[in-house]
Amino acid sequence: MLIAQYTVNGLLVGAVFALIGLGFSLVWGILNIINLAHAAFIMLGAYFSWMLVHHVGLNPILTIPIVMAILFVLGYAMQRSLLNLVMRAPLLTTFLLTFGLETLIINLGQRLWSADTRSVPVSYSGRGIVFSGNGIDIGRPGSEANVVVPFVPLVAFVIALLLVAGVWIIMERTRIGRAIRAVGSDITAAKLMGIDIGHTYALTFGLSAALAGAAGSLVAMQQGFSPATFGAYNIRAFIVVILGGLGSVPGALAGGIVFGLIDQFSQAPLPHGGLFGWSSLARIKDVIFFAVLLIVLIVRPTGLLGREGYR
Amino acid sequence: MNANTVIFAVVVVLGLLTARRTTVTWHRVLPLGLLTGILLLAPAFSDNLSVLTPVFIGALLGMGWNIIGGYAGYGSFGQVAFFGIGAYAMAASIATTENFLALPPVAGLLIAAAVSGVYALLVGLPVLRLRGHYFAITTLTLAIATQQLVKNLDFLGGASGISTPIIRKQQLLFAELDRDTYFYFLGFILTAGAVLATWWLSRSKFGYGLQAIRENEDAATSMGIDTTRYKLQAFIIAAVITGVAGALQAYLRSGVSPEDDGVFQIRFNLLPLIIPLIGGTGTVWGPLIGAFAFLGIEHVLTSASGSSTFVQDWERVITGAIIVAVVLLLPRGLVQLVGSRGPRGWRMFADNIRATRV
Repeated sequence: MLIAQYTVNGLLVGAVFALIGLGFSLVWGILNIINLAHAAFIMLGAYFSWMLVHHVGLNPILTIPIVMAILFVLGYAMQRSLLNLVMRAPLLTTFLLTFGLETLIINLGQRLWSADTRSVPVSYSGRGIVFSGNGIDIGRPGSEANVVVPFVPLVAFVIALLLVAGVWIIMERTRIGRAIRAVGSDITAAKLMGIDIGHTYALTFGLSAALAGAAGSLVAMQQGFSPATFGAYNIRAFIVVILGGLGSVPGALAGGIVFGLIDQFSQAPLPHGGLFGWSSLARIKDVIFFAVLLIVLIVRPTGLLGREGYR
Repeated sequence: MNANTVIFAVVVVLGLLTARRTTVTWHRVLPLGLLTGILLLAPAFSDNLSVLTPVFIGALLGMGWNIIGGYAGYGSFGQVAFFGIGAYAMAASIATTENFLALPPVAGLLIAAAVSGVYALLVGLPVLRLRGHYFAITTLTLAIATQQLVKNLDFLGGASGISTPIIRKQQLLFAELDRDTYFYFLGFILTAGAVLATWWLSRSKFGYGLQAIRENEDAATSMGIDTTRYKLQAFIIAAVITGVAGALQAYLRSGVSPEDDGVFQIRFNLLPLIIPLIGGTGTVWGPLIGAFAFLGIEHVLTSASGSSTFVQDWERVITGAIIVAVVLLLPRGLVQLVGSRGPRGWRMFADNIRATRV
């Protein structure tokens, strides 16, 4: 039943990747910025959660709204004070600026919180819904278990889906969402309609940072982490967006799920005792992602569900 | 204030004077002569020559990136891939242990250049079909994928890497030199070669073609430039220079490691970007100036703090802050300070920001 287990795991981690990709996709689609500080925001989310759990004693799930509020303010201020200054500069400039911010924040994190591995303890970790020959059970998986749906990733999955749905509602049903989409599709027309461009950009960036923060909290609940853990998330976010297609909430969701499935299935053991002495392809996961990225970009550059811009 | 600090400062100033826009020939030739003289004589009065050799590695990294990122406008964020490949090719060529080639260093450098170039050809064919954001982040992915691949190939030493002999004395051209002097002059010669290559490129039809691609690729195509070929050539030249820098690193450090503190470390992905950015992208002298300026700042911080761990601990925080500040205030780098046009002083910073804000 390995295939069923990999599918379950892939779907569960896929929702969190969708959340990460969605924030990245928002900033890219509306502001035309590849935000390399996205991974740094995920890191900040994870560490703020950790601090709230360790020093204040909050329940890990309750830290998420607080983390999102802090990251929203931080993102808003960063866009207003720094990124708005280079919005009309060449792509390389904004790319480099966010690269600099990423380097600054991640390494500041390393100084503040050290490079030690941290984790956020969750009371129900290790338990889950166990499907086995004897039927469905709740508790710790035993040796007879066929498929396990672990609780912590399940909770993260549900929260991630709720947040994705929340963003969809904001974008489609509210005045702010309409303003954001208007700025994304035609900046001059939006300006003529009386939309404050600088403010709307900052709101978008703040929203994206808040989503990254929430994703950071969810990651922290599930695995041990250090500041260096998060560097890889920019590329993951990018691949999610490329897979699903830039500029839509369903696209980010589809991209996240596909990414999660690839991520999990790469751990499957290889037939005939492996290849080059590798027992599974997980050891060269990043090489696989690079290949997938190239193939998708060349064969279907709009992704599974993508269109131009953000609509 | 030690002798090396003076050398760093003097090289930056002379570099800027050489890069100055002027119609009077000796205004450029005189600083260039002095610059060459200082660099040739540095071993005589430097207090620690081993501080200066890495500056040449940094300058080579900057010059490699400058060809593809500065001239062609294809900002590569994964040059460390070619640095690592070059370092591995060098190590595998000169290592004397079993399964390796035990070749002389010159052969190693040539092999490193060739292997990096071939790798760039293979990778460049698909990757250069992408533009802008897509190109940038795909090269970033390339860097991570290359490190992982090399680390998991057992014939390249797997996770433990490759060790090469430690150099104590070595023959260079006509003289037998001690370790520090030998590597200093090796770095100097390779850097001088890269400067000459960039200088040739900046005046050639090829170089103008690259700049046309940077300004507007579609227009360049319609002007009859074979953009695919030009981009691929630029990407390969950039990779060769970067690979040679990697080879020098492997040679100098007596081996390579695939781990996060080895030849694929983030530092060697940051240096190719930050060095031309500080000096001035798309210029002949920008990367050299940037290398001496940035690594000079690091050197001053190291000396001032009295311990090398201060810079190690805060290096990347400082690097990040410098990137942010330079992108905002001086997007065309230090050479903008000696440009003949535009306002001076604080007005220049303010104008740079005003030009791009919403």
